[in-house]
Amino acid sequence: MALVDLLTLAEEKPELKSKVYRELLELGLSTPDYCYLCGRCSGGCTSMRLLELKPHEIAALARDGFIEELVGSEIIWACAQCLQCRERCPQGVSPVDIILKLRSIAVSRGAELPEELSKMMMSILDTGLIQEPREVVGRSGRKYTREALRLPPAPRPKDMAAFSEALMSTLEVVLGGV
Amino acid sequence: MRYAYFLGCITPLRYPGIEAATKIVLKELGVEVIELNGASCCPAPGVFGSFDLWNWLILAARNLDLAEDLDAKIVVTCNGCYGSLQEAHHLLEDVVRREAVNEVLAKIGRRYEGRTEVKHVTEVLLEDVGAEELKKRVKKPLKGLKVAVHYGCHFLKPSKIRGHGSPEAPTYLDELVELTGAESIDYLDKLMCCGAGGGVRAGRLDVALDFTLEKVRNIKRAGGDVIVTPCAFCHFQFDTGQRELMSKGLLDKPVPVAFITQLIGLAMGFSPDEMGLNDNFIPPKYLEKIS
Repeated sequence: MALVDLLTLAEEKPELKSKVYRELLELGLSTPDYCYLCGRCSGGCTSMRLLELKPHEIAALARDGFIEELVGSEIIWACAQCLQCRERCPQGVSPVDIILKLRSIAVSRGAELPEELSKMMMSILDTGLIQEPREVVGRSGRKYTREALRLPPAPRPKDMAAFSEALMSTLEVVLGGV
Repeated sequence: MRYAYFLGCITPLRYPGIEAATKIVLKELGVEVIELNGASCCPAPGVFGSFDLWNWLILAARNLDLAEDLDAKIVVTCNGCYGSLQEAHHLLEDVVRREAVNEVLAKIGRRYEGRTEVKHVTEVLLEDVGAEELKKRVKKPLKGLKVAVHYGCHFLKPSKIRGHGSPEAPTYLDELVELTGAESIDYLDKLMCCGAGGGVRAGRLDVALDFTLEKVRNIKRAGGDVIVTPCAFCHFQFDTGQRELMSKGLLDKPVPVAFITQLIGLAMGFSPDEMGLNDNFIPPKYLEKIS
């Protein structure tokens, strides 16, 4: 659903806003309350050009408590995380970090996510790496392998099972906490 | 100069030519490079950061600890890895946060004390080896080659942590490229993102490709022979992305891509095969110009 439609149905959820604020403060960032809508972030936003993501609007909507509505909107998945908004903000607000917090809440709600993203996360937890090795075939049909480049076999972490288990226990705390 | 090479995922699994070139070039320049066995994904800022920043930090801490055990600094060839590991290192300077992370790491018998450092390979080249020395090592100047530098977002930002000068008008990589004798050209929206970051490539490939197409068009208009990046992920997006654009009929002639160490290696006299330049989908046509 479009963000505008969601906003007309909005109900205030102060506890959700406090959670986002708390987590931003933990990262040493200013809360959206400091945003005075100067628009420097949106002026430099990579995704603004093609997708009309406006970081200053995200900050303002978060400040006004529309967390639920933002979490349900596709727009939070358009951020390319170029960090321009964090860099440019004169007030130390970081829309990109607000967006990441909103994505986390969406994930914890079991919202429908980009499929590839879920696959990649599962792959990291499973094997430690984001994907399996892919064979590189040059233009002549010749295969370029690590061996041909005199490189050792692709390295893999060995303690990933135990480590994932440790991570999952904290993930459950995080996911159960919203 | 002793560095543990943090490979990440894209470099070893998809573009091993980047790894080969980096190892050869650093060795030739007298930088000791050791393997960082057991490393996992950095983890990718767009992927893992979107799920949970806390777990992102713990995964990164384990990787930092592997280097700490080797008493080595980390060198990276991907802006994603650079961003994740350097930011994690920065966040873990806070003792309270580090102790909380260490409680989880203890479950796999690890503990990170905050004693490593994360450097991009270009920093090793410019700051450890130095521009003077690099210039001396150029045996085959790349005269006449027009290079379109693509910095990649996380190479420059947050500028307070990265320290490569202005993120709005950088010169760091242009200067490095010009040491090879090539010309680093200016082009429209040079600092625009490649489109792949933040999970956009994974989530909305069509959008990621729109970004890439716009950049490639601007580079072609400015007469660029080759796109040079310091980032394995941007390299992947430009090389694989242009192939995807061609198969959709959206792009006719692509611009080949080279990683920064591959370009430097060429100028030092190594062969295109040694530098893994044929490891890309887009054939390295620019070689005709410099041979």
